[in-house]
Amino acid sequence: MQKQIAQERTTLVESFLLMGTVVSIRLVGEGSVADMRDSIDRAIHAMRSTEEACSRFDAASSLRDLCRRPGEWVAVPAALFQALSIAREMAELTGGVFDPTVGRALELQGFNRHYLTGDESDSQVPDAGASWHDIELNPDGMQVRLATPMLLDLGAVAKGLAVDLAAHELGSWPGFSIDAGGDVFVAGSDPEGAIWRVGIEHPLAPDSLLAQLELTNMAICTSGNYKRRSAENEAVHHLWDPSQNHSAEGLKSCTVVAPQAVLADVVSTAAFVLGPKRALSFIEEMDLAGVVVHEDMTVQMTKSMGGYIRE
Amino acid sequence: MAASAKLLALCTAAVGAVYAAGYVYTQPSAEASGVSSHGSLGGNPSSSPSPSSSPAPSSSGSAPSSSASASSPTASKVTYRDGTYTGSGSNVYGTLSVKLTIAGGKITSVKITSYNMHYPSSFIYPQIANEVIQMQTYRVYNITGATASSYNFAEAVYYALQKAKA
Repeated sequence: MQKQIAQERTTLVESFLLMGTVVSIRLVGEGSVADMRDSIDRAIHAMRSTEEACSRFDAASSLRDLCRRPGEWVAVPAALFQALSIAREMAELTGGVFDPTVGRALELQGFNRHYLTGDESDSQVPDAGASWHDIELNPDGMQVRLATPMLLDLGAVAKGLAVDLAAHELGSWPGFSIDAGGDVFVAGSDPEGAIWRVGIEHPLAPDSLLAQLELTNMAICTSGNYKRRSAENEAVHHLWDPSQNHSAEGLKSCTVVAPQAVLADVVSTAAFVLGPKRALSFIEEMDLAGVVVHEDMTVQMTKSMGGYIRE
Repeated sequence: MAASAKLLALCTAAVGAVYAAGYVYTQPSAEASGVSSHGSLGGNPSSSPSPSSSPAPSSSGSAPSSSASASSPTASKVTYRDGTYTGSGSNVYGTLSVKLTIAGGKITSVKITSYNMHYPSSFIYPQIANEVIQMQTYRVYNITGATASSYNFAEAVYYALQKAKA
C-alpha cells in the first residue's frame, strides 16, 4: 500500500550555499516538478533574506547597519527583530552565559571571513564591555537601540529562523526535509512515504552515527566544537562563553529536538555554552528532548529523547 | 515551564511575525533592474556553459585566500553584473561545481550543481577509523551535527564571482 503511494511521488533534492554552510532541501511532492522547484526557490529566497538581515560577515547587512549606529533607535527588518528578541530572551534565561553581543570577540579570533566573497570583515567596534542588557527592543515599529557599541552575532538564532521560514514556504507539500549544515527540519513523510529518519553525527567520526532518530514535523539541531576552529588559534572554536572570554569547554556536542528550528538551535547553543554540568538539565528545563556528548565521550540524554531513538 | 514560556512564545510566533511585517517572495528576475536577457531559466551571459572551465585543478583553496587578503575590509566596492555564472573546484578527493545568480547587483543564490567528493574517514580521524561502529543507514537522508563549513566550495565560488565582476 505504502509502496504504491511512494511511486506516484517525486522527490527533488537541491543544494545551495547559504549562511556559511551547505543547505540541502529534499522535497517530496505529487504533480508538477516546476511547482516543486518554485517552492524550493521561495524557501531559498526566504533564507537568503534572513541572511541579508542578520549576517555579521556582510558589511551591507541590516545587523551591521544597526551596529554602526549605537545609541540610536533603528527600525530593522522583521527577521532581525525576531532573531534579536529570541537571542535576548535566551541571554536573560542563562544569566548572560549565552550572549549575542560576542560578535567582536569572535571577529578578533579570526571568525571574520565571508564565505562567498572571501572578504575579511573588520567592524572596528570598540570594546566597550557591551552585554545583552544593552540591547533595547521596541516592538512598535520593530525598533532596536544598542545602548553601547557592540558587534552582534546571531549565528545561533538566524540560521534556525531561516530554516523555519523555509519550512513555511514548503509546508503545503506531502513531505520535505531541510538540512542547513547540521540543523535539520523534517516534515510530513519521507520519499518512501514513511516517517523521517535523522542521524546524529558521531563527534569523533563524522562519517558515522551516534544514534538514529525517527520523527517528523520537528527540528533537530546540534551545536558542537569539532568542526569550526579559529584560523588564528586551533584551540578556539565558534561557541563563545563571554563570562570566561574563551570558547566554551567540556562538551563535544549538544543536540536538541524542538518544534521550531530556531528553538532547537538557540537551546542547543546555550546548553553547549552552559557546559557539562548544566547542559542536560537546561534542556530539560526548557521542556525539550536532547542528547549531550561530553569531552570524554560520555553520552547523556533526556528521558523524552527515548521516544525518538530508533533502536 | 514558566522559565521558558516566553522563549517558546517568541519562537512559535517568529515566522508569523516576519510574514505579518510584509515579507513576500519576489522573483529574482524581477529584481534585475531592467536586465531582461538573463532570465532565471538559463541566460548564461559570459561564462562558458562547461563546468570544466576552472583552471589549476590541484590548487584548491589557494586562489580564494590570496584574493581575500588583497581585498578591502570595508563594504563591497566590487560590482557584479546580473546573470548566472558557473564555477568549479577540485582536489584529489573529487570535483564540484556551483551556479551563482546575481540580480540587482547582489548574489541572490549559489546553487550546487555537482558534488562528487569523498574524504576517507581515515584521512580525517586515522585513530578511530577501525573502531567506528557500523550502523544501518538505510533511509537516513539527513544528519544533524556541528555546522559543516562551506570551505570546499570556496574555489568554485571564487571562479564564478570572477566571471561576474563588472
